[in-house]
Amino acid sequence: MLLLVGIGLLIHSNLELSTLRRIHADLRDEIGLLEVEDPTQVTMVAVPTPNDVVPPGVEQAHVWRYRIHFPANYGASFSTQGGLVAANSPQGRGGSSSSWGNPNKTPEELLTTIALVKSDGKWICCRDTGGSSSTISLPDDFDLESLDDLVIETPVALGDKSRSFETDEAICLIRLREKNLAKKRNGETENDLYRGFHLYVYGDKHRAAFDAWARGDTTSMQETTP
Amino acid sequence: MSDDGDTSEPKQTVSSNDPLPKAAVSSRSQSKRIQFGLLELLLLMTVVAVWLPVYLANREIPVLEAEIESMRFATTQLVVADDQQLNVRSLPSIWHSIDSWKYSAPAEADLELRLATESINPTTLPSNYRATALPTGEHSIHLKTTNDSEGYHSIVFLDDEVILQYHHPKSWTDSSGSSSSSDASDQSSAYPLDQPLKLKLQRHSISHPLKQYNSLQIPEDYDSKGNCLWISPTSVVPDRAPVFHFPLNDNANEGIGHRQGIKVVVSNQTELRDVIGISPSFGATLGDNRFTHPYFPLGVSIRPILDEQPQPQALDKSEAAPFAVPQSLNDTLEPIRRDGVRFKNEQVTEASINDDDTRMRVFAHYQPCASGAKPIIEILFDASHPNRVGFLPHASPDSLPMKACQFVTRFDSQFLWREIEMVDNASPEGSNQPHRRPLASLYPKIDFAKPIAPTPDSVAPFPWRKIAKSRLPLATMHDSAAEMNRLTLTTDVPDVTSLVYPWGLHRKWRYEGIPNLQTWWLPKTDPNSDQEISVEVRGGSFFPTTQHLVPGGPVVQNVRITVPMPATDPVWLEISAEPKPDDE
Repeated sequence: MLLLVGIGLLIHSNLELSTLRRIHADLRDEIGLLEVEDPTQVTMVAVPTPNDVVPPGVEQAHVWRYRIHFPANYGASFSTQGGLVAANSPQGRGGSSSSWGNPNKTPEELLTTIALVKSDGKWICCRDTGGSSSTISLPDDFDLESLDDLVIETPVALGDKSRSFETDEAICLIRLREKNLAKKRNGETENDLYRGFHLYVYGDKHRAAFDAWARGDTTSMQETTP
Repeated sequence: MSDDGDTSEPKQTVSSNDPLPKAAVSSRSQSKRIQFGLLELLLLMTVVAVWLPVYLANREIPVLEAEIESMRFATTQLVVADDQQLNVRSLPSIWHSIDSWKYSAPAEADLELRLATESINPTTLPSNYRATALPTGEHSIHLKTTNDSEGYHSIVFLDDEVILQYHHPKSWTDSSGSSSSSDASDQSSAYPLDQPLKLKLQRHSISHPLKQYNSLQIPEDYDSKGNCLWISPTSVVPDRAPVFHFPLNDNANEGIGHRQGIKVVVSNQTELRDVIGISPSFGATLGDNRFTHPYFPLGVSIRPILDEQPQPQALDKSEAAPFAVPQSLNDTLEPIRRDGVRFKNEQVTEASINDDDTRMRVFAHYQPCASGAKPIIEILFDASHPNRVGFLPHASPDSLPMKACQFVTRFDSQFLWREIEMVDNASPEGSNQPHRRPLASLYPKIDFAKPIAPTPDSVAPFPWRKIAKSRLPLATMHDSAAEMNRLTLTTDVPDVTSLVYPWGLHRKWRYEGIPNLQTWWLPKTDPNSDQEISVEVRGGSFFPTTQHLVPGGPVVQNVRITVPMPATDPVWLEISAEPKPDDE
């Protein structure tokens, strides 16, 4: 009897397992696998953007998406700066937006979407993470129709394997800037500032260190290496 | 076969009478337990070979399912779990101003997509909406909600085509934020075809009337502006939102009364046990912090007067008589049989509302007073007047005869009412034009401008002052031709946020809303009869039970309305926003 029941369950489990493995493989090919080797670290993988993620009502959009594993008690905080940005730190001038997360007692995986959206002729930068979102407007004269002439830096690219970071690191999810230093009204160049925007994520416990870094204290934190 | 593989050992046989050493018994039973044949071993191996993969599969399946669920969320796939139902999922968003869903509806489905931007509340669907037939098959729905210099825009796309839209001017709402919810999951889910499914319920908050950059959330049970997008069976007509509210879950803290207006609350807190809490309408205290639960910044207490007690005019001495303690709010005048037991489960049901939804009445039953009085107060709500609550006193059949019933307001100080609308004594005959008279005019011997230190005497309220009915203007309630006397208290503080409150004052005394009025509507009675309703007010310099001065000087601390019994017509209490000059 035990054997017969076992054989029945074996057939059922194998069928279910093979179906799930096939779905999993298809999705892995489509989305990419987030491999979390150390759950105490932040781990992320870039996710492709299907065409229908960009809805009607948007004139044009550039989208970057990441699946991110946040360890327990991390408290993902986000900081966006648009206008003038530095090439390797969160320093900059212009519009900014910050949001602070409540530390979660258990690890969580969140889909983070960063989108440059053109609506009613204006470009805005939107960030959405598990339902929480923020938006900053970009200068009217910042041409984003084509990204070919811009420098775009992301921590992981599409097709890359999952990448892990220590929880005390601030991770630049995207830095998009012009290649040349910005110019002042008098024609002189800005000191290490480019037109563009960047978006960082960091743990809630390191908010003060990040803020100090953004104000110019280079000893409090450092840019993660590519 | 034994565990050492030796089967040649002769088995010992013993009679039950033979005593065996313990070790021998143990060894024998052990060898018996582990003995099995080759066939059994093969069978055991087969069972293990069958069950082990089942066990391993059952460990792997949940992991795979979790990863699949997580990965599917990042896709735009809709998994149809039941092709006979409505299958829906929300899609990942790239911009918080656009929400997207994918759905699949079977060929026989008869569904509409409906959009409303007003009368939005969490309990009922709006009855005023725009709709379009929802095609069957698999499609995407997108709701774009934006505002710009021209106003507020709500546009619904089906796939790439605009199918519904609303555009409102900038003056439509003074919104500074919103809150949203949805009944549609971000995982593919099947929903019944005969039930509406809310895709998005967005409620706009409004700007604080006095504080810059502050916004106010509209109370849960109130209608608000925003966006409500839902899929509905074509045949389903939304229920009309209720006019009146009563707790469905026996939670008296929710309040009973107008859904979008004044409510009464009975609290179980010891210090509030002798109070019927008054929760004014959202608009009447607009800007005040309503997060305290239950929210009732004002209260009314009841003091029954027995036949043998002093006349109402001389009732100051009866101040020591405690207020009656409400025991229950319920539907009927019939006395409850739970004497001495205070319970919080209120028994207010649909039966308290009349057939055409225009009136609600509940009865506050009181514990027997030490004097032998046992009042029952009929509490009335009129759909035409969401800022008013009526009180009609009754005596329970087992009560001693009551000569009168006093209604005393509580906690008035925070509203800084220090003016009273009165008709001038010197006004020509027939003139009914009221003027705002300062509270100080009732206390000519007290210097309201003089600084005062807290002493046991000074912190006590001032004596009661009777206001002759002849000084109260006459007015009619809209739905009645009968003239009534009207007592109105007003404030002289246009902006409470400019006040400096004493340090250490409890926050319950810090009102943060717009100026408002306390108005009593009193049945007109013959001034010469003993059935005359009497009106008294009492001022004070300090917030009650504190040693903190009220900023700006003495204010009205209580109003006392004495209603002779038996009473036939209710008295009505109204808390309303001070009309703006251009409203008058």
